Amino acid sequence: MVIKDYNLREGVDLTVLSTEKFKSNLMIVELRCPLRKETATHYSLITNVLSRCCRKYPTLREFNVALEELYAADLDAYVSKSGEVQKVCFKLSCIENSYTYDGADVLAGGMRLLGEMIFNPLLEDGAFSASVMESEKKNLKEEIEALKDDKARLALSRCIKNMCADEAFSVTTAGDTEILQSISASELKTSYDELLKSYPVSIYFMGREAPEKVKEYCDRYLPFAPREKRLFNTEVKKGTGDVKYVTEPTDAVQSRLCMGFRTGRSIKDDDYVALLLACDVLGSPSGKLFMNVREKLGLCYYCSPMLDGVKGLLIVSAGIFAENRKKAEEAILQQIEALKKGDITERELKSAKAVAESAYKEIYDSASSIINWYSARRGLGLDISPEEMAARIKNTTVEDIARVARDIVPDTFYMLEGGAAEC
Amino acid sequence: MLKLCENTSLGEKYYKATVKGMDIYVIPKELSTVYATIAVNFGASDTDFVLDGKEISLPSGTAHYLEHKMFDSPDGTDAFEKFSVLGANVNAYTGADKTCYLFSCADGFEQCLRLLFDVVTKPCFTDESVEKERPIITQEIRMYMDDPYWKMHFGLLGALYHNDPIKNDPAGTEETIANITPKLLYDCHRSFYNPRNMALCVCGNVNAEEVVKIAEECIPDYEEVSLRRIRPYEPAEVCCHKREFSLDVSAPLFAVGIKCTPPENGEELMRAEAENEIIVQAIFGKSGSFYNKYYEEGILGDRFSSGYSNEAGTALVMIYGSCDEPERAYELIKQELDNRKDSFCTKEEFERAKKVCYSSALDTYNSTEDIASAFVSYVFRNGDFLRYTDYLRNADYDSVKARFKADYSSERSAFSVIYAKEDSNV
Repeated sequence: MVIKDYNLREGVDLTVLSTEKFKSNLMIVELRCPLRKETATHYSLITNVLSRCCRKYPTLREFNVALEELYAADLDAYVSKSGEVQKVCFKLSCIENSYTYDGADVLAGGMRLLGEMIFNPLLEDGAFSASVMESEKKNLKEEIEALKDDKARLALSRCIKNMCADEAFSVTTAGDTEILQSISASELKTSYDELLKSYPVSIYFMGREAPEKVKEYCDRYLPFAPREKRLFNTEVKKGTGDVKYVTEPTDAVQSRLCMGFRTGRSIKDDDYVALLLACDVLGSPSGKLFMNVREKLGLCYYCSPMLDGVKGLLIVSAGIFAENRKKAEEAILQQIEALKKGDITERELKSAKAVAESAYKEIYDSASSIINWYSARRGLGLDISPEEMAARIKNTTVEDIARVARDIVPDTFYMLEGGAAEC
Repeated sequence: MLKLCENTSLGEKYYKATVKGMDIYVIPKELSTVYATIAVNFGASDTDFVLDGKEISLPSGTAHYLEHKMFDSPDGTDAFEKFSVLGANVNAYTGADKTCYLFSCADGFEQCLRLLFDVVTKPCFTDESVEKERPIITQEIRMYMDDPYWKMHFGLLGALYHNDPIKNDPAGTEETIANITPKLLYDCHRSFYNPRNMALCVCGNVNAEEVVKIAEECIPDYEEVSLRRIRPYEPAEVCCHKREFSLDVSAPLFAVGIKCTPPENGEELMRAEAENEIIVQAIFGKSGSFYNKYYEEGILGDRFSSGYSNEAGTALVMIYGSCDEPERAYELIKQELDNRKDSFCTKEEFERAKKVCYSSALDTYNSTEDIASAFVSYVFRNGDFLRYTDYLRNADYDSVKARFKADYSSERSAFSVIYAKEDSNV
């Protein structure tokens, strides 16, 4: 893989990752905005409205027909969260031209549509089409509310909300249903104009097309104006050690436990790799959590850690019987205590290192993984490849892991309490 | 002896060999991760069979229970740990017609493959170890009970099928797994985990000859057993037209199923899959008139999908979505089927649907996991995934139209709904 960087204009960057490995091309255009309650819902709704139709293709059907003619080019707009940054993303994924059976130039067609989606929305009297917006409000409301359909995700989200109540991190990137109701078509247009002109733009491309040609497409179809180049920081708080216990009832059979910890570290720290290994000692397929909480105690089917390396949070999740909460919490805490004492066997260390190294190699097998990797790091001003990160694993010792583990502090223990009868 | 099969227009190929009765497929791919699966032709739907003249009826969930217990080693160690030390991920799943054991790794492929053979060929069950698994599987079953899509899916299969075991959760229920014993697991292993009844698929940057060599060393000699599978009689008609549940969901969800004629193995399987995928795409795809009309009217939303699947001697089309009035969605889908009975779709819609299906099949070749999984789905049915894009490209309008007319009937459809409970909390 060869990486080529272009500064298209002030605050607008293009990174071309060239590879022959894939049968498709992927482009992701990201605008990085601070995650704020007042704007998050607006930006989220904008992505829904833009991916529905545009001036040239004023109905969903016309838009979809045009895309399917291009061998089902996947064009999408969505929001995602990276620490306390809301990323507004526009994505184009299409098959490599040489695999078409009618000689179509799918990439050129897809790039044109990507440009139409971002820059030429369907407008009425200078505002977004009211009917389109209202219908997309309904869809977005459903999407936001659908979080409750997945109890594991719901528990994780509620745990984070409680844990980071006073921090920007608690803002849901998909939006808030109350704010959503109040947005007018002209307000949305104002937010859209603001969004397009104010925030730093990073464009990533992965595929076979020549870098110069990709740059040419960007110049032609993605006319972002120059803007201030800025980095938005995410606050990584240290824990106080006071544990907040939260229980919320739900109408479900299983109870979902989420134990939230502050790690006091993020991917910006040089010893982050030790934290990652600590997490793998717990959560690798034969890690301490699996071996003890599931295999030895039989308390659950899944018990897994999730490390947010940008915000510095560690959340351990498990699906349990409500009456086993105390037992599960104690068992999980014991595993973390063991880390702090350096109570890690040679095989546990070997496994964690091997699993982490494989994970870094695996990133190169997926276009979206590699783009996500660079996006998360460059957004914080870091420039390190998965390969360079993997090289740091080898020399990490049990003492390094224990040292960073001692900064892991419990913060919020949340349970979404089920116990409903089966139906 | 390795046989080479190529698809030059895709620039893809695979090698095939048979070792001690086991078919082996190696698909070379220049990616970092190697993905390997051993599939056993024994799944959740194989509940009734005659072994050495004796009829055996398994409690629902046995194949899945066996899958969990195959990870215990005779020396008392855990297979997960051995893979982990190599940086590999090992896993398994139980489908209706097969059980698959798999790993992915970036290094140590040879050792991993030997370990995977150990997992499937060296059973070791004790009263204690079988007992230990019960609370874990109980939590697995309970986890899925809270998944509305899972619930709705099995509700739909229960409406479509009278007797076929496909309608049951592969994991069984807390009641059925209570009766599983080491003896039962040993019987199943002896009956089904025979090299003639297994296949290996490897995809990645590996040497095919090396794979064959390892297989020759790792596949033990097996005693032949006399085995006959029994499948209950399943009428072509649906069992009932509606199943419903109430769960704590944000909006009502629906699934509509159409019971189709299961295809014969081999050529017809490939053709049927290609043609049915095109049909479903042409009529219920995202650019189709159906979805767009009712999306614009606000009846259907973003959560809408459709697909065709066939396994374990069943075939069906499924249409999923969310809708405030799910009954109406079902009526509209039935109407659409009836209205198109003779006209099917336009040639333009047909060509577009082909492109969509082709692009999705092509996308499979971007990941070793997807490639190996796609190959595995055909290994016991005489199909060949490498040819699948040809079947799509060569699909003929009149032939597809005829299939639609013959096999898609609103009479043979059913509907499963998850209503939203009123008194939800969080």
